[in-house]
Amino acid sequence: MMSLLRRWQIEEDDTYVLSLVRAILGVLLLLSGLRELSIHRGDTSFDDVFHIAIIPEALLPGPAVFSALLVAQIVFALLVVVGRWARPSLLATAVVGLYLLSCDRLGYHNNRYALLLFALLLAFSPCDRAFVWRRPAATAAERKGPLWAARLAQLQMSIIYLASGGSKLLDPDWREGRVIGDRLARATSLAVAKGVPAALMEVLAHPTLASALAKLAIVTELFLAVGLFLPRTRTFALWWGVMFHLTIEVTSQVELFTWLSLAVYALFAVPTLRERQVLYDPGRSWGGFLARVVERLDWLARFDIRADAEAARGHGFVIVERDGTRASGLLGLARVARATPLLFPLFVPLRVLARAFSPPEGG
Amino acid sequence: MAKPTFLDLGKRGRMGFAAIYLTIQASLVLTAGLRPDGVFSFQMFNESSRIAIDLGRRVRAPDGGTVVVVLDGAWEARDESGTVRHFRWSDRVHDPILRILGRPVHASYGVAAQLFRLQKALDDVVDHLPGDSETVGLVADVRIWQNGRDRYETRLESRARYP
Repeated sequence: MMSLLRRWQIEEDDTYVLSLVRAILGVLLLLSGLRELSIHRGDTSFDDVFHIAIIPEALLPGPAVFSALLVAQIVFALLVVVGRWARPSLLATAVVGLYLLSCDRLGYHNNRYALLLFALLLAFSPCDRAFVWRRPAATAAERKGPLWAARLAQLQMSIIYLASGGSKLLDPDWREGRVIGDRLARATSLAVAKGVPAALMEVLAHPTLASALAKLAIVTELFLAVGLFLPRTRTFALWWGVMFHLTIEVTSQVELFTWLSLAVYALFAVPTLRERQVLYDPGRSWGGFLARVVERLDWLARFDIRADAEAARGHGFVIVERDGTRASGLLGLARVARATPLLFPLFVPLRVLARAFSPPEGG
Repeated sequence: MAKPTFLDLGKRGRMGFAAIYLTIQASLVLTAGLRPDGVFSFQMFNESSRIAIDLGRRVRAPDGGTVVVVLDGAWEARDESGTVRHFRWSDRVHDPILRILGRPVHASYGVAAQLFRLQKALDDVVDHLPGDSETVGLVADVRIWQNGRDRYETRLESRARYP
């Protein structure tokens, strides 16, 4: 335990992915700020409307200060996006946001609170060493920095799952499927509008299936709280979590929580860049096509992409893993999907297909 | 290499920050039950319930008692000089759930959360009725559908008002 804590205190690595998460968080903060500003009535004071303040009434801002704080949130968010003054801006936006949240608990939403907590934690991480507007790209050495706060952000994600899954586990209505069954029955029109077949929603809301789904949801949240941290289960936990959040996105209204969760998932990627290789045969159109696709979608900079017909050994492309394992064909595609955010949902289906139809190539 | 700032904590600072942060988070999650609306505790989708609020106002009856008059959210009352004034529930209550009267709405964060908020709203509105010398209280009859169960009803009353 002590060695784990010591490692957490001193761990340093590339902050490229961390900086990318910061930029995405900035966009989410910007969208959140713009939404707040759009519903704000500039001349309305807390005295004029029913509210439930968490902080003492004397500390509530007047209309002008409230409006100024909302505008400031947007300015901070823009600075976070472009990477200039990003860390102080993250801290400021978290402090101001938590203050505004405490002014009226009617405006409290878990997703908004979570966004502010992640902003607070990332403020203490060197998340401004890449993706900075009009600054030349930093070298790997310049990007290297402490990761303790990023690890704390990972832990925060785990706390959310644990709190959510734990509260459901302790609630008989949740365990029996009453909550999810009623929710699915009532969410049918929303889900259908987002492209989910109506018949599927009706089947899912059936009491027997709803009970099974409820247990699955509870197990999922509790599994994610732990599984994201274990090397053996991490990749599957990330995939399962992505599926879980996308399902919630199409069946419920959770504002920005889906995208926040998926952004934070990137923090679970190994910080070191380009440890995998895509070796392709430029003489084969399929290899060249895949290389171009990977180049475009490799947002986490996982791959070193090289044209090398000899190393491709007669294949259009070969994926070389960290441990030197080589894969081509379906398994190679599965490994590309595993490391590229946009293709990540395809990882498990491709992996299953690859296992069924093509044995891995050793190397 | 970037210059260190106050946000670049040393080893002891990191440990202290994490200890305080995790203690606060754990405390907020573990004490969720103490807060009717469970704020700061990440109880996602805790219920699938609906409520429908029917508002009434309690006024003095000729026999010296009080009677509840059903409202559609707006009412008229005389001030001390006898001038008729107009009042609306939604003048003060802007909350997207509590301002809806007479029809079922999703009870976000659960029934307990919404009843807690509604009680506060009733008390708040009766505290802000300048010029209404007739209303002695507000009453909310709430129809509740909790997690798909059959409907039940409850009544909330504001604190008494002595105009």
